[in-house]
Amino acid sequence: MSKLIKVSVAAAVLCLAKPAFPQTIFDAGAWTEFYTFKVPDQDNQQVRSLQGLRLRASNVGTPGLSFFLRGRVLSDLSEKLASDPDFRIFGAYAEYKRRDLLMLRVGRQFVSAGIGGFTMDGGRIDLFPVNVVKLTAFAGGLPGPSFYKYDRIAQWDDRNAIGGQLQYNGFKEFRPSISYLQRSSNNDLVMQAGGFDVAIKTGPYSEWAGLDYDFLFKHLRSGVSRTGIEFQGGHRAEFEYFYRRPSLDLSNVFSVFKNEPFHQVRLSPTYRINKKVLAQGSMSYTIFEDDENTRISLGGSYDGQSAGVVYSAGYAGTRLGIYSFLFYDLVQQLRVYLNADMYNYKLDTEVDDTTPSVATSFGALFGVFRGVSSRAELQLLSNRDFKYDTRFYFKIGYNFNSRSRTSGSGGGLYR
Amino acid sequence: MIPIIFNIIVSLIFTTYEKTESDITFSHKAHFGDRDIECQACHKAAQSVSADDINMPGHDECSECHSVSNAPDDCGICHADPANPKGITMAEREITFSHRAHLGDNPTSDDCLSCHQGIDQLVSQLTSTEYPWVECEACHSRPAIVTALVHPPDWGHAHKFAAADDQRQSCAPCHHNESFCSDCHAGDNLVETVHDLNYRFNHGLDAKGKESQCQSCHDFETFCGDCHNQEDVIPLSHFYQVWNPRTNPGTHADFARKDIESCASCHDDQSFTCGQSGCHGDRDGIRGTDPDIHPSDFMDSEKGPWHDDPEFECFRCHTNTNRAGTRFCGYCHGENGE
Repeated sequence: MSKLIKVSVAAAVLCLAKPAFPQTIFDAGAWTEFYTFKVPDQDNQQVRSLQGLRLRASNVGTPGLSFFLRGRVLSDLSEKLASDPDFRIFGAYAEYKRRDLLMLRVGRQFVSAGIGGFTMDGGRIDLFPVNVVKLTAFAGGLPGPSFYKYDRIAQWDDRNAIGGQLQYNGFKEFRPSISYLQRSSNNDLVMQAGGFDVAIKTGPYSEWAGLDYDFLFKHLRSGVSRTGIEFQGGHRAEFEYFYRRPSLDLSNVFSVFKNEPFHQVRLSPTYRINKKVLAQGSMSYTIFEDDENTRISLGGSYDGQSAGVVYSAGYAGTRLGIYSFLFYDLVQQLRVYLNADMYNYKLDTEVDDTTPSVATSFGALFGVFRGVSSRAELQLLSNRDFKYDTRFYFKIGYNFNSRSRTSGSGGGLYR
Repeated sequence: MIPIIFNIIVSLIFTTYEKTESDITFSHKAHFGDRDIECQACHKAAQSVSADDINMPGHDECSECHSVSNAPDDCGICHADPANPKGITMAEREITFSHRAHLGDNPTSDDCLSCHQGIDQLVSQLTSTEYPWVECEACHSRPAIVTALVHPPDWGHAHKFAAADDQRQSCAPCHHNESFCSDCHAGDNLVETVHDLNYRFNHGLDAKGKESQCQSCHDFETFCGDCHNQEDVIPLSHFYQVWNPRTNPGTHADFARKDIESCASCHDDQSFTCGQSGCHGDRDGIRGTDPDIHPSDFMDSEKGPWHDDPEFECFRCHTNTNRAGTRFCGYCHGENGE
């Protein structure tokens, strides 16, 4: 058992020392999943099994001190795979928060701050030197790149990241921020970038815009502008422009290859016919240096039940298909659902034949009793290469919150 | 069987925890149920926009009807231990719930009761964890309903902007970010809950056409390979005749220029398949005779580590002659080694 797992389990046990901290608030869950399927061209049936656990303990000993853990173990019950048992710790950190003053987090955590968005083993601090400024700084070792190393503590010298973000919240409708991120591998700087983004919300209009610049390659990595408008009656429309140049760290040998940026525009209108009925479309057009790609989807929904059509054409291939999602609540705690999709597609424009594919899943969600829910699903998939692929999925989960008596993470029965 | 037992054990551990306590002996039934005192007379929740707001009445509100100045005699009206009154300690909130957004401008007590059902009949004070209320899930639980009524229909694409704008904490009222994001993004579920089932077959179109910016959320070095390795599936495009780099080198080169991150997500850069296969190895040492893979100005102005480090990356494909003017060195220094 790796050191990270031992540390995580020890911390969890410490948090669960009930008599020590009676004011501690627990938000926790555990779930078990099974998924059976047959790998094409192999005889035996795979039976994947997953056990997951999440725990958040707040006010551990002192107000504002929390501990968070989320991890899972995956293994195959039919045969031992090379990766079995595959432990992954997604989060294991201690957090201290004083409202409007600071937030300090130490351990394995996902960092999302400006251009930074990754998992690290390290520390992050959010400071509010004045109440309209938020300063974030973080540094830590990076697990991976293989996920199979996610059960071990990342070593700083192998791969690390340093960065931060400065947000100004003094304007009522306008929030700008700048951010910085660098990654090093074996003491060599392999990525260094800066970002600027701004969020605007005024009346029915909203805007998100951002730019990322690569200091090592000396070019723009990405740029985005997304404008949203809400109309009376619940109608809305979003327009988006997106630019991106594929990017790899210098430590990856593929970074020496030529690469091309692309531009993309997208329009997504939504028309609300009434409270329960929506019609929605999404059109995107992507421009490469010498290619283009178009995607159009049109659909509608009635009280959450949805159906639509998708069409794609261009560089990425062609696709025409329909999708639908239907459900019915037999009783309050039991829902059955049907998901059916039919597509005709080809993944390359230079291929003559298209491939028909059908995917159907029929399942049920059942609230066994308060906090305990289950889901069972039969899946049928077929295309030209994987004919009659039949799969079965089952999940049972338990959610607990010592304050609200149910899951505090949202979702509840239907996660 | 072991996984089920695991679940049961965890469930039993958590269900042993009790609620926090309070020393207040307040009866809602005596005030509200019997005397029709409106909720707003004591609670200022109608103006509350944050879960951190303290909406509990204090001495100011109670003193409108009760004497609170003659301690400790008056303290016994509300405090179970008048000699040592404690009141209610508000717990740290992990959500950003807005009463105002749910109640509107002029709420009535009936509006409050629609969520806090049965509170008008309580005869003793309970802790904040024990108040009867309708769970958020009564309205917000079903993902299909939530998608239609709370999130815009293109939420699958758009939610990253809301998540990035954390100052508005748009996710936190319903989701604890660390947990909820992982449900879909971290790979700790066995069936995807984001895309429809047919996506297993045709997701390549969206990935290749940049429709889904997988890299904006997922670590490209693991994301693709995680499923492809787990189910031992090679991308279908690789089986097409046009993909064969020996007979049709332009197709995969074109793909690599547009989507080098996807190449790197599956192909191990430690055993560099492109160079070791012989296709991209600089065998003859003559500039311009091998596949053109570097940008035109690649490292032209650099005095890089390859001058001093014989193990440097370049020499995976190029031959290090250590002599200016020949082969790799001559690419920059010319035939005469200038």
